[in-house]
Amino acid sequence: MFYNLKIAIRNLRSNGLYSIINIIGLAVSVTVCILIALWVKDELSFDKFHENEKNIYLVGTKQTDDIYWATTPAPMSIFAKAEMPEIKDYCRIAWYDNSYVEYNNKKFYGNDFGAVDSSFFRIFDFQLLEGNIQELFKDAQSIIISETKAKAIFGEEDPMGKLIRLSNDISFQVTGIMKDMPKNSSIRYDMLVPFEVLNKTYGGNGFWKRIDDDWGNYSYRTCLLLQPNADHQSVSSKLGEMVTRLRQEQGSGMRMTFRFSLQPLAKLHLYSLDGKPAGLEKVYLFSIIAVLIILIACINYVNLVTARSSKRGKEIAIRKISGAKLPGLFRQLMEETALLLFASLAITIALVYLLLPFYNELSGKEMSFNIFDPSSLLIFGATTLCVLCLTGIYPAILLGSFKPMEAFGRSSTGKNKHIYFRKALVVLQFTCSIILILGTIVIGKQLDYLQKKNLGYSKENIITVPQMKMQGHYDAVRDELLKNKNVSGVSVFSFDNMTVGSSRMGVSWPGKDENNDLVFHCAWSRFEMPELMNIPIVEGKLPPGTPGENYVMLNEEAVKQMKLENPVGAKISLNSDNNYVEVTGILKDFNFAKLNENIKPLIISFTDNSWGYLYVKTTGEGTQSVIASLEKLWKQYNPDYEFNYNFMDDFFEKTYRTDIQTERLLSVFSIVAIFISCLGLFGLVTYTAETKTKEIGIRKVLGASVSNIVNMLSKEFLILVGIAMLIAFPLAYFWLDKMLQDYAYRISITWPVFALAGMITLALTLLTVSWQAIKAATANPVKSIKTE
Amino acid sequence: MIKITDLEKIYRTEEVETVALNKMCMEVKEHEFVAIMGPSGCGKSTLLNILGMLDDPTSGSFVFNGAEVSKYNENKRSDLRKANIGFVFQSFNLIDELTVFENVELPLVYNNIKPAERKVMVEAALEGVQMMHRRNHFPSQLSGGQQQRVAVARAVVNNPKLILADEPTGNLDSKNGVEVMQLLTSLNEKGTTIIMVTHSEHDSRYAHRIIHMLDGKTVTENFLKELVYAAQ
Ligand SMILES: Nc1ncnc2c1ncn2[C@@H]1O[C@H](COP(=O)(O)OP(=O)(O)O)[C@@H](O)[C@H]1O
Ligand SMILES: [Mg+2]
Repeated sequence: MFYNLKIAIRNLRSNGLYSIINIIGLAVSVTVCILIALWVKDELSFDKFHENEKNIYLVGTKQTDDIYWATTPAPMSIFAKAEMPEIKDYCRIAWYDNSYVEYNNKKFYGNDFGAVDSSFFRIFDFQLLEGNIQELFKDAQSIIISETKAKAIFGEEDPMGKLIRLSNDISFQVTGIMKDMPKNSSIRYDMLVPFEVLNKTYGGNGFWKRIDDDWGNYSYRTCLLLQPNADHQSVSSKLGEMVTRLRQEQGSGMRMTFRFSLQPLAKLHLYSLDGKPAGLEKVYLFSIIAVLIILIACINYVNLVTARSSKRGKEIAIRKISGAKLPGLFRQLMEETALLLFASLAITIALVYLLLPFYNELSGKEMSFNIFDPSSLLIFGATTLCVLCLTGIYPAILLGSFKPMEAFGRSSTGKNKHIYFRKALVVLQFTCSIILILGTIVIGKQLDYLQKKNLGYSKENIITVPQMKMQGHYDAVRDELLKNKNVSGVSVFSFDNMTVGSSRMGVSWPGKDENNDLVFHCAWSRFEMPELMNIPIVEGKLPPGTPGENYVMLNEEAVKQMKLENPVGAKISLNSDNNYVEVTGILKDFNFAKLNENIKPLIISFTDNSWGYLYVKTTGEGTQSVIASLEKLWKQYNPDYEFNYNFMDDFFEKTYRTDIQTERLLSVFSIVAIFISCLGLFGLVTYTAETKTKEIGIRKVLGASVSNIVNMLSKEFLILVGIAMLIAFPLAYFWLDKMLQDYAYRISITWPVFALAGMITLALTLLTVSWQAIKAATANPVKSIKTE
Repeated sequence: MIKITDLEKIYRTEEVETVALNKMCMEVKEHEFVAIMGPSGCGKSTLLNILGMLDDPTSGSFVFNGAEVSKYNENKRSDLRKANIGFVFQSFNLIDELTVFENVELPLVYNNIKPAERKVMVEAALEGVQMMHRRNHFPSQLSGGQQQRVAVARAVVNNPKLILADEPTGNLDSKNGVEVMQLLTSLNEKGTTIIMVTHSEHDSRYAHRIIHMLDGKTVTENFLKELVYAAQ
């Protein structure tokens, strides 16, 4: 063993350059692999930590075949549990919107509050550190807070039993401390209050008295814990039948069919409610990339070892003749590989620790790596084993099977035996690299296209701020803002960033086909808005803006789908309450959703007292003074809330954050892939130049110029890279075209993209190859010919 | 054709300085066949490399066809070499991966001669050394004498004015050696100037003149035959 180790170290040292190439290649690729594995592990671990994980489902409301809401009315689960034995338990979860908690006259901002049923800790495995699980919500004024928040608010004091006041002026008693909800949980709150508390603030809407009776408000997430062998499909259809029946019995004259879906909680993170993958593709993509990068590095290793096998062959042959048995030789070679691998793993560990902070920033996650953590060890061990198999076995078998006489002989058969195999591997490497490069270019271009795309309104120089208590004081707020000469206009829109997050059915209009209901996106606004945002009016006019009067405008798509003949002046009713409002005009279609979707029908209701966000347009100068004016108003109307504003110009970054992250990660990965490929190529060229020293000398004596020689050495590799391109281009086209189909607005993949990728690859190849080639070509031929 | 005066070549390594050529003077006329003899290490190969413009002298003058070439740069030397000089080495120096035909063709490729023309010239050269029947063989499939004949064919395919041969028979048995020497003689009779390094008394007798070297310079010259040459 020690004897072998000594030989192994000596071998690695005497092949300095090749050892370094292999060690760097393996270290970098295993590092990338581990980083990707951490990412994948994190993605796959979402919501898996509940013991009941397999039996917890989230109920989705199926609006149409392709519109799902992740929320339901509050009473549904109560009735469902009473009727269906398959349902073991249920828990409703709602946002409990408060801006701060107050304790000892100090306010603490930035908390997420959830209102949950008392079953919460029975169904989910969130750890309770203090408090009695039976009596957590003994009355509606109980609150459970997370460890971190408890520390922040109470410091060294014991929080249990203490009273804290929320911004809605209700006081709560701390009845439990829970461990912070893990980052890989889709359900994450800092503080939990009983669901009943919602009843306190529930004003009723005339028709329904209690929140537990309100079938019209879809604001609550419903999680069901099913019996271990219950069929969730049948539960979801039973839910639909039940709600349809109950609503009819309530006699509102509704003849609507309700449909629901049950999605396993564990699928929430990577699938959308309709069961289609949403995020899972990225997990696959990155896993494949990890495998490809490892493969590329292993190919380097195999290529360099086999290329040099004729040299090593002599040593092996002598050993064989001296009586070495195959298993012994095999072990010696595997030990050599293992030694090399361990050297690179040492570097890998350092690299992973070093790069993790940057990687977290790049990927927007908070992953940690501790080499002694069992799962890290597993990832690490598995990767290492794979690499050991890939890199070790082939060369070992190859060298071990060497026939001694063949190795000694001058015949070149042994030398050339593996050349085609090697060439095929190089082609494979570059195919992978080129595909990744193409992916980076195309996704980058797509994002660029989305960013530059005309959305149908102008988002430049718009600052948005939630109105909150400014609502109802619009005129005063506007007048105050317009005193600032840098403010050029003000209006209100119900949602931030011109995205519309509300939709409804049951809208009536003249000539509506009752069997063909439509889903409308709904927004609320003031009459100045279209002008402020530069949304053209294609027909009709703006609402007059008379106080107390309500009007609506439609977008072109709505008119088209409604088949309205004379839209301007038509009267439509948003609810089934026969409260008809007049359509004053048609707005040109604009994008109010992510560009993955086409423009949908939209109704904007105009009142002089719209809820939502204040949109302030500046002249583009003195932005700071505008913000100061806004802050002053904010302090006046919303003194209890943190002042937050948003530039619509930043909107793109926020909406497409995950796409941008994917693109960044992908570009890093393709750089790594091409780097490792070029590293291997460098090794091969060095080797070729080394073995061809004499031939190069002869050729030079016979009149070859430096460029002749460089050509000769590079041509072979350029051809291989050329073949790789021919293979990579159609594959990449197929993949990327499929990926772009996720976007309603997308670029088409045209030849300049391929030309660019081709040029990048060729340039890098040439750079890699020519350095060694030029070195070999300029060497003095007299010396190289002598070597005999 | 060639005139060198006070030619010096000094090799410097870290510790030692080797004077391979020590103020060497020599003249070679067109159509001459000169043999160079001397003990191992006296600078014969060094001289040949400089004459073949594979290496440059440390000092001294080297006039080739009336032009002072000792200060030529690599490119100019390469052009001059391509057009005028053929080489034959002791160790043949054929390229293993190329066939006989392709090996002989190489100088023509680097002289940018068209493929059709190349074929004619290569075949003529191979005909001249009686190796046409082996045109598609690889060097490893030939005997030493055959390999050296191919090397001679490669040296002459370009119709060079000068052939430099460094111990062309050194690796051959006597029968094969004689064949190669006869080849060189007949080339010389057709007008090619030949400078040949050899250890063999027998081979040197094919030459017009023998130059004996010692420690990097000429010590004696023997004239064996008159240079009689009538340009055809
Ligand atoms: N590249 C070199 N570096 C250093 N010394 C050299 C080199 N080539 C030749 N020499 C030395 O120059 C001298 C002449 O060598 P060479 O011309 O090869 O002799 P010959 O061919 O007559 O045997 C020898 O002493 C040799 O050791
Ligand atoms: Mg010599």
